[in-house]
Parts: sequence; structure tokens; C-alpha cells
Amino acid sequence: MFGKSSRNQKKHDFESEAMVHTEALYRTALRMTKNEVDAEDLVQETLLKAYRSFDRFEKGTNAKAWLFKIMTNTFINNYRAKQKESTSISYDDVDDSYLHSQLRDKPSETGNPERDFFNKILDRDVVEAIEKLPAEFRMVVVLAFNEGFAYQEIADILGIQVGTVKSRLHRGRKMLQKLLWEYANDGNSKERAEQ
Amino acid sequence: MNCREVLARLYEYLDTELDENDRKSVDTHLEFCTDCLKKYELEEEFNKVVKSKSASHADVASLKSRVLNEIDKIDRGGGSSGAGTRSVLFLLAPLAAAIVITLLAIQPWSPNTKGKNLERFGPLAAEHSKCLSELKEFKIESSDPQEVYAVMKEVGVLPEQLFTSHQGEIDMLKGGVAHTTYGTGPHLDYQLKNGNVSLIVLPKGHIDKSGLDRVENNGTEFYFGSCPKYQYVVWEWDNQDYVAISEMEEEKLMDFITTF
Repeated sequence: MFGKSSRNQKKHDFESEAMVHTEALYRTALRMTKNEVDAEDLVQETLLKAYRSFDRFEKGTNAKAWLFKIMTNTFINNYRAKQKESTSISYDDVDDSYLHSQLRDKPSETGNPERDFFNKILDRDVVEAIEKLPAEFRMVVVLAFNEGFAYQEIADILGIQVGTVKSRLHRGRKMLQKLLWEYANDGNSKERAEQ
Repeated sequence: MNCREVLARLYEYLDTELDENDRKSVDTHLEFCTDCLKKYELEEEFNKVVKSKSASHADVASLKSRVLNEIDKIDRGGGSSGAGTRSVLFLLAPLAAAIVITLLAIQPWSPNTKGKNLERFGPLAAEHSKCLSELKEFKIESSDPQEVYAVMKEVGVLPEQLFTSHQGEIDMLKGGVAHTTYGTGPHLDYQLKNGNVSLIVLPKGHIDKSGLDRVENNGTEFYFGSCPKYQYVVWEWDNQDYVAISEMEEEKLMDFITTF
């Protein structure tokens, strides 16, 4: 059935259509699993599953979304259960104009409180804040912010409604704003600087 | 649009998810409303900062070569067991010719596939995961075979006779997609008199049949396995691997299979 050459062709096609997304998959896997070992395993499992069902994949359609769907399913199935969620923070008090009113009420030395705030945000603050989000918000945020998927694509990947994508992204953003505001303004930042 | 309406759409505007009319209305509003403009600019800047500060580059070269190595193993594995499979296929060929199977031209999975009644089930019971660690994604729940067929043709290639009722003996329950450790494929649920059967169709040669009991019946090889609670049978049909999983005893499960 599958001669050697057709197998090589399949592998070749898989490399050019699917494996080109390895870095994007790994990036997202790292945010989902929060550690490099699990992230590598998750990506490997994803790509091998994809290879096994590559015959079913319709060439020219959205390979990246297809791979991300396999990966999020695998993550939900195999990894999420063993993850400890840090949901101790309450986000209920984050209203829509949270950041806006914080900035308005904050005395500023430079006269530009927004600049002050954004300058204080460290790269690792952002990563830490994203990793603190509950998984269902984290996945939507990472797919939208880091991978640039459209709402409909995210809905297809996660098997949820577009309206759910919208509301999770909305709340995810508000949670991030609250966390990053706290990192930038609390005593937390001093202790972080010492690390 | 007033301020409230604009603010409610701010993120969609930012994410370029608004249709043209709404986008223009927001544009116009932001031209004269400095209050909303300020809020928009704050969100835009926040968006930019989060995106740029969480963007990362990782060296995935070693991960890639590891995966390619594993792929070679899969290909080789398929090749070594292929000898056996091929001979069975050869035996089956006249039989296959005798049975006229109407194959349907069907599209494979694409991310835009929309199913109704999409429902996701979490990992199945732990004992089941020893079989296939299956995650099911149902696209349609219906007892009307034609209705299930209409949705399932978006999912994979399946013989038409799977979509027939057998006078209250076998009834259609659901159709969907199963994600298993051996790959992803169409998945049908049936209700029988004595229990339910899940039928999963996977690409040929991906199921590990080692450790399963092999039984030959009418020239077809069936492999029987069991988990604490479930019996399952694997066989090759129509160039694909079929798996039937059920709580029913083997004999009843075989009756079900031979009905098709």
C-alpha cells in the first residue's frame, strides 16, 4: 500500500505543512503546561498524533489551527488534570475600566502615569501573569495574543462558541491588567527585583 | 453609536473582529470623543505591551529532530507489520469485490467544520483510558441515521451501511470525532438491546495489536482486548482500522459487527 517513496513523500509533506509550526506549538505548550519538559512532551505527542492522521488532513486548509486543536485536546485530556491551578485570586472586582481608574487615581512623578506603568512591567511579569490565569482563560489569551488567531479560529480550536471566546478574552484581559498593575505597584516588585 | 456601545465593542475593534459598518461607527465616534479615545489608546498600548513582552523565541531544533526520529519509527513500524496486513488484504480482496461497498466522497476534517450539538466529554473513565485514552467530541446526537450521516460526512470516510437502523435491534445514538492515542477519527455510537457500542474508525495500521487475542472469522482477522469494564474488538475493513468498544460480552459484540 505505502511504498517507501510514498512514505517519504508523506514525511516530506508533513515537515513542510505541519512541522513548520513546531515553534508556535512549543510556545503555547510552554504557557499551558508551565514547564519545559511537559511542553516538549506535549508538542511531540501532538505532532505524532497529527502525523498518524495526516492522511485525513485536507491539504491547503488551516494546518496551524488543526495542530493547535490536536494540542489543546491532548492538553485538556492528559495534562490539565495533574496541573495545580492557582485560582486563589479573585477577579470579581475587576470592572471594565479597572486600569483606567487605577491610572487616574495614581499620583505620578513624571506626569505620565501610563508611561510609568508600562515601563515598570517586566517581561517575566507578563509571562507570570499569563501563567496565573485559570487554564480556560489562559488558552484563549495565548491563542489570541501570542498566536494571532481570529475569534472564529479559537472557537474551532477549543470547540467553544465565538461568544465564549469573546467573553473569556475580555475577562482574561481584565485579569491580566489587575495582576500586572499589582506587580508594578505593590511591594511585590521590590521582592521581585531582588530575585 | 454612543459611548457605552463603543466601549462594549472596544476589544473587538482592537482585534479587528468588527464588521465594516460597526468598525466605521467606532472610527467616527473616536474621532470626536476624547474620553473613549483615551480608553481605546490605553487598551491598545496594553495589548501591545503584553504581546511584545510575552513574545518568545525558543530553539526547537532538537525537539524537531526527536519528533522526526519518532516518525521514522512509526513508518518503520508500519512497514514491518505491513507484511502481515498486506497478505490479509490480499485474501480479503475477492471478498471486498464481492461485497459492493458504496464509498462516499467525503471531506476530511477541516477546522471550519461546524457541527450541531457539539458537546465535549472529558477523559473517559480511567479504566477506559487503558484501551485508547479516548476523548470524544460529539457533533450530532440523533437517532435518525440519515441525519447523523449528513454531519458525519464532514468528519471522515465511512461506508454507508453504518448509517442504517436495524428494526429496533441497532439504533443510532450519536456521531462525532474521537481523539485517541492511536489517532483521530470518526466515531459512532449505537444503542443495542443489551447495551451500547462505540465504533471508532482510525487510519490503518496505527493500533497496537500486540497483546490482543487474534481470531479469524470468515477470512477477516479480529483482535480482542479488554479493559476492566469494556471489551473491544479491532479489525481492518475497507483499508481502515475499526474499533468497537462495549460493555457487552464478546459474543454480542461480534453479532453487532457481523450485522454490518
